[in-house]
Amino acid sequence: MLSSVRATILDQIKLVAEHQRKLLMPLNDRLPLLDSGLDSLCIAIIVANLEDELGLDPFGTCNNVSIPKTLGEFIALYENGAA
Amino acid sequence: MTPVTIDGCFGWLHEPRGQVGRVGVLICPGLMLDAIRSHCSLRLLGDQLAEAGYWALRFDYPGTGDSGQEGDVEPEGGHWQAWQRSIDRAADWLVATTGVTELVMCGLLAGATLAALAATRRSDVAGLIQFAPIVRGHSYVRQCQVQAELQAGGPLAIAEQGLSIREFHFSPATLDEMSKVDLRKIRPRPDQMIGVYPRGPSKMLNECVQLWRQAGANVVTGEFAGLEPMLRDNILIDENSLADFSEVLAWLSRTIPPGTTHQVTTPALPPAEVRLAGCAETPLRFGHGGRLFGILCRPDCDSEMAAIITNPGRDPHYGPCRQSVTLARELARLGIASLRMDFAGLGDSLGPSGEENAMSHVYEVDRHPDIQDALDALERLGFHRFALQGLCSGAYHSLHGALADSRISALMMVNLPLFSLTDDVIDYLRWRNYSLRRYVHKFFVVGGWKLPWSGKVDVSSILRGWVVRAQVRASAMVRNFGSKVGFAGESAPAHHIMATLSARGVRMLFLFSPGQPEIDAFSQEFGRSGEKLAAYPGAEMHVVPGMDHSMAVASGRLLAHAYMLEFMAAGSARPSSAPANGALRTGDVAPA
Repeated sequence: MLSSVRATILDQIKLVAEHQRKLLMPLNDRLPLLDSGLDSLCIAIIVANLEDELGLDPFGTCNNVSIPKTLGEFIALYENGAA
Repeated sequence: MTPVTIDGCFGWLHEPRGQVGRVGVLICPGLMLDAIRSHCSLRLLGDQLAEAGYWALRFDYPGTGDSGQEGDVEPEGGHWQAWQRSIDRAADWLVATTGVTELVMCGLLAGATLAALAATRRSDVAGLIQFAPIVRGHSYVRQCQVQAELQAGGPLAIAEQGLSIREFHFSPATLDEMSKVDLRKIRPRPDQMIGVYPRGPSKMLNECVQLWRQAGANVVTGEFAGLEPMLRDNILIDENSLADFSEVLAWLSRTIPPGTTHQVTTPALPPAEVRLAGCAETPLRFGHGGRLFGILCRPDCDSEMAAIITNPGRDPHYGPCRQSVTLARELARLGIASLRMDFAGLGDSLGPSGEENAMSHVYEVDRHPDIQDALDALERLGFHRFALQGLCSGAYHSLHGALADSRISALMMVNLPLFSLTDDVIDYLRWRNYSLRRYVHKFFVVGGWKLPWSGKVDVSSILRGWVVRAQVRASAMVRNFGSKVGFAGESAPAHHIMATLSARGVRMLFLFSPGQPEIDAFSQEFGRSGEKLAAYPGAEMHVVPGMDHSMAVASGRLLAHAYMLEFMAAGSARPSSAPANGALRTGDVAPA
């Protein structure tokens, strides 16, 4: 389940970056999101799409969620929600 | 194609050759950026549907495009209900006006969702075309919310205050209504033909298609690849192609043929006009063969002055966040008319013969002829004094339009990125949004999610833009040095341009975003605070707090408009030949 969450997130990031014509940095857990090449519209689309695909919205369901700084933290938020 | 108005909504009717055909297609655009990016492609779709024998109507919902109402004020019942009502009225109008017996609803993204809802409400809809439909309204609302919160830098009290994003404000009730929409829950009629064009893999959309098939609808899915230009950022300089609708048209003609033997009598259409408080807006076609298009906004009172509002980048004449519409209507309240126009090959203006189906270049096309055609048309309508307004490339073309035509007496330029165009500068412009200094400041000094994600961040672009900008700066330094030692006295294009315009009595307003790289070209010539502008009477410069490059953020946009209105109001009170004294102020003081 967790590996499929990760794969879905990475697929969505690549898809949205392609649609929005963003140059995506190589994805790894240590990649700061701000350096990823994604802008606020991309992130908004990814969060909305992930809710559709995974049924998870960690930002919308918990007010105390800490803002992820890296891709690894971003993925962990969803994996924790799926666990 | 013929401009029309339907209950205060502006639209275009594309008539099939011979005005025969039993099928009408209603084109429902997307919202916000989606509408801007797809504008030219949907014009092409309307033309191609008409060529194939269909009547086609594309129109702007209330509070969008050139229609009446404002996006930031919700009408009774909210935007979502108003948009659905407007689709029904447009569909009724299409049937009543053309005599078509069947309708096809066609939409893009949120427009596809609205089209699908309309298809279930009406008994005359034979087909549905869905371009990347938003299946769950909740997802769209969530996307808007996340984007607004990232731009604001933190959570917003949306449940209490609603959501403001770009040109819209949505009340909590409207957001709730939009959130409840789910295309999987609607049931198309068993005989409806539906073409779905998904932009990418989507579990939700797959479920939707399955459910619609189970309901008996004939649903096919097609490729989106050729449709990508509909959603492409207009600023991409090297890509001029519009969407390829051949697969869509082939499917439609197979499943719902237009019936070209069906003769109808088309009534004469009344002139299109949107009536607003204090002004009226009408379409204006001008230039050779009427190939150019704009919306003329005339105040109810007599006016001898008209402002020409040019395309920002390659966006259509209404501009990002409808800023050109808002400015036009605000100018009308000052008694100043305006023409928000499309340059050839942009928006609703056709490009040169043979290039009608491509977008024209943002910088490398000479726009003087288009501006002169607009001035000629306005003169014929009785206007005697003229101003030009532009954002980014629109500011550049306005500046050179004023240089080429002595009828211009005032210029409003927002984020003018350069004074003259060289190959280096074209390269620079391509990456103009990506300043390393700006990025570093935001990332290391400001921190957090707020600002870095409120703009476009692309590391390689940042670096490249920084290098090219350094080249531009270096060439300006060399020129300044040459000037000081007497080798290059009058050769600097910026100073030559300013001297020419100032001597002619042209008043000039420069507005810049704080920290934007665009100001670099200006500051190299006139100083960071514009102190060297004092040599040119009639010129003033302001840095507008909170204004982003494309004026997408409402607070900065409102302030920029206030500066422009103050500038125009001051100019309209005195003869155009009498320039203001060399006003020079930096922009930390809002106009009254």
